[in-house]
Amino acid sequence: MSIQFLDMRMSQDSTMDTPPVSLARNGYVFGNIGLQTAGLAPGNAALVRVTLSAYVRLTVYPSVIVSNDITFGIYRNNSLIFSTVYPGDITELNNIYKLVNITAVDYPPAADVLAGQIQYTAVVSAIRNADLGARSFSGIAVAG
Amino acid sequence: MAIQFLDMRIAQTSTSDLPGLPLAAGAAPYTFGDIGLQTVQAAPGNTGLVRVTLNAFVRMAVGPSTGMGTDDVILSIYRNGTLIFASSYPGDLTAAGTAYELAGVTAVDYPPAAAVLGGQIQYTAVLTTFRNVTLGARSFSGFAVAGTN
Repeated sequence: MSIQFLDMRMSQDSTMDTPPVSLARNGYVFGNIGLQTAGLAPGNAALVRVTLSAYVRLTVYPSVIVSNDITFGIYRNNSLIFSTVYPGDITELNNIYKLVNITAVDYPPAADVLAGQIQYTAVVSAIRNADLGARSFSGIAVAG
Repeated sequence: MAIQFLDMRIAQTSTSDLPGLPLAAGAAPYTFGDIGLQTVQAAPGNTGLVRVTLNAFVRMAVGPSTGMGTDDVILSIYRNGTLIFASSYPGDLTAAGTAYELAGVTAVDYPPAAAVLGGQIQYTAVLTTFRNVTLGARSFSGFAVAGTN
């Protein structure tokens, strides 16, 4: 079927670095979108493609325990579809700043597409202390 | 109103790290992206339902702290001259050598109907630095859609 634009949705959790969200060995959802797929042409249900972009400005504090990961996860309808980890430097004594920009892509199954809306959520969890500054999440869906 | 694709525009300031563009600490803000997203196709009921995603990339070689009191390299995005997004890279204040950062930013915006009705919305990506930094490859892209169902 011919190529078609379906939808773009986004979450604008914070447009500035301050005030930050402080993580102390816990997690935080910074993006939650529902891409609309109802405009789909017949025959395109299995031909949907999604590009997801996430941004978080991280302040990473010195290590406090053995594991030091900061994990970014993206979920489709609560199923994990993408995960990546910033372990940082365990021996670093100063705060480290990272402009974390993630691009994830997904081929959603036809069953999800036919439901008319696909939920994508972006989650960051820290096994150390970290501050989250500016935060954005965006998803674009096309088909055909 | 029905979901509609409006426009995508890009600024291709530099496609490689060389030649680098040095900016001295405290230099005038540098614009590395300037685009005009076209919104004239927005359906009459969609002018208050426009969404914009902006992606910017700058490769930075960040020199040691200059002791100006702040050490930030700030990436800012403006809509028609109004600041809508800012995020800073303070780097490592104690680093003696050059640090390299592949700085990518995604910003999102809900432009007001008045801006949409203007037919074109200007977005600019600006870098402000309080330390010496050399910019490598630089890109800026904006994507606009409208409507909710």
